[in-house]
Amino acid sequence: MTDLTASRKTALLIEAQNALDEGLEPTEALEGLQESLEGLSPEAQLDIAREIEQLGQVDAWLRAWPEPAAPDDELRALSDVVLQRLEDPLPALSADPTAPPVFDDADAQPPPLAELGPEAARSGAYSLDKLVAQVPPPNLGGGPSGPAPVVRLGAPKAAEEESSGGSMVWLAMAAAVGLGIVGVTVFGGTTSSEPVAMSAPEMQDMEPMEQGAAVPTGPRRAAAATASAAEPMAEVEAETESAADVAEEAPAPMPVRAPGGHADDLPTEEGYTGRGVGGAAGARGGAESARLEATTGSRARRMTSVMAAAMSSAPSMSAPMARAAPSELDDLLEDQSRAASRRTRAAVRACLPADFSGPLAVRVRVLGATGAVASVVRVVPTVESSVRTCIETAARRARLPERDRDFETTLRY
Amino acid sequence: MDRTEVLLRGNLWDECGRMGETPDESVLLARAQEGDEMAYGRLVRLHERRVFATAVQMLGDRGEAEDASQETFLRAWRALARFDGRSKLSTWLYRICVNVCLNALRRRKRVASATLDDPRVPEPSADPDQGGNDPARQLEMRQLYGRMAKALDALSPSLRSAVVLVLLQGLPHKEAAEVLGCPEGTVAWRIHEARRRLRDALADDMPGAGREAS
Repeated sequence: MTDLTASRKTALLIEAQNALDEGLEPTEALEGLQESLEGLSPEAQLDIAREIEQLGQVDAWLRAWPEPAAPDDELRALSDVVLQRLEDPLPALSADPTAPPVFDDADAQPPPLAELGPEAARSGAYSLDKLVAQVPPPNLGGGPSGPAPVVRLGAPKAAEEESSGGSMVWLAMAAAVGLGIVGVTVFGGTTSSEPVAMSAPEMQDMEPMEQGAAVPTGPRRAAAATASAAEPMAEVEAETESAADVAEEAPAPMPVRAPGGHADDLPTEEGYTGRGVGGAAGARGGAESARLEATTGSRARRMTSVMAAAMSSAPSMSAPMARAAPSELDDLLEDQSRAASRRTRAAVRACLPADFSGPLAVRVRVLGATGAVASVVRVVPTVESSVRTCIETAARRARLPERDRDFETTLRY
Repeated sequence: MDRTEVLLRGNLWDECGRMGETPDESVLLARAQEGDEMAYGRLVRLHERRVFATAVQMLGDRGEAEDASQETFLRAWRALARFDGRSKLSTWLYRICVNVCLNALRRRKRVASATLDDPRVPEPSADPDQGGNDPARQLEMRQLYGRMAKALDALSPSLRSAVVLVLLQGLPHKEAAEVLGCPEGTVAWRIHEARRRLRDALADDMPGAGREAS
């Protein structure tokens, strides 16, 4: 039996919450952690289970929170005013509003890896994700036409060292791979002959992602916080590296398919990339997890997740779904509908009477231009109107792939 | 003249709006980037509900949210020529909206305090299922949402933004990471930290806790 350190607990809870964010129930999220919980004392396991249950309750409340009322006439008035004011002058900003937000609070970044201690490193997915998390993503396509903004600092030398040290991030990436390999042979409980998603040399063949938008870190971030706290939307200056340029060099997100997996395992527009133990098939728990486990081994699966996260942290400048071939969209629609159902499941089920236990199907009409649910066409089985209203509110939170025209699909709960 | 051209330029514009037909967003975007205000108006109509909801959830004040929504679309119009379509338009608008809201929060002099008048607290008539026909239950639900709004306001801007985007707007971590310009791992951590703090703030509302029993 091993003790549950704070860092290990944090890692496990993050994995569980990733699963919640995939739309799973707290019990399913806990199920996805079973492998990681083995060896912990019963008290520690109970502690984790209780925390996940409570966090799941918060999650259910948040997801069932009705969207603020916005009557159509008010919204139409808003768009009318916008059109009337298109040429009106706006107050000058010191930062480009299309650039990534600059946060001046202490919660903006996770604690550095060093603070997590060796337990966190052994906990696997979290530490690997932490390392991958150090790879800053490039800017959005609509970002400033010029260079990426960087906060003006009092210590330019340190900033230079950090920005010129893209190699630091490469080291982090290499370390992530290294940890994974070590994990296979030492911690993973598997043999070195088991498949690993990608080796370090292969990883280094990838297009560099380390040169993305300059996000201040460490002491630099602290200075940035001080600077930005002094003035709304921190004062910025140009940096030599254009994040937008770099973004063009970044690879498109790659499909990462685990052996034996299916289309559900693909990273999609929904952002499903898998996140270690609690992510990927692990987050799905149950039979699928077991099947995947049987074919790969947990560390290899984590490596796949890490690579997927690395790929997706060079986001996602993928073309809108509307640009995909219709046949591909048809293939994806069922999976996307399942994902949408998972994300809205808690809110929809919360609408139902306590004694309702059967399956529920909600046929929805989706705006092709946005992927947003426009209306509920029918609910099977039939429910009373107040329940239907509640379901409609909850189902409107679902997001589906964009298409070139409105369409209908069925969300199953 | 193709159908889209007809929809955009022809006399069917108003009629098609009435019929609920929507030209492809990419076409509207291309037209808007060429300076077509009508096309931009359609884009505003497509996205204003989620932008407004985001602003309300971030700011907790309907008036400020209306101003922020307007500013979001006005700033987006000015920057539209630079939008190159590598992200979704909605993602880009979310980012502008978050920036505008953060600016509003920084400039705000007063400390917001959520009440039952908070626009995030649903009116009973707006959501009849939140408590059904039981007035006591309705009040209880409204009070819970009021406490949730207050707990949300107590979060730091970075955590609040993550909660609004991922848990309230339903964005996947990947898209939220694009909006916030940070890695997915950072979004996951912020969500974890925010949920933990919200759980602490709402401890009395947890099943089995004191408030529930009373």
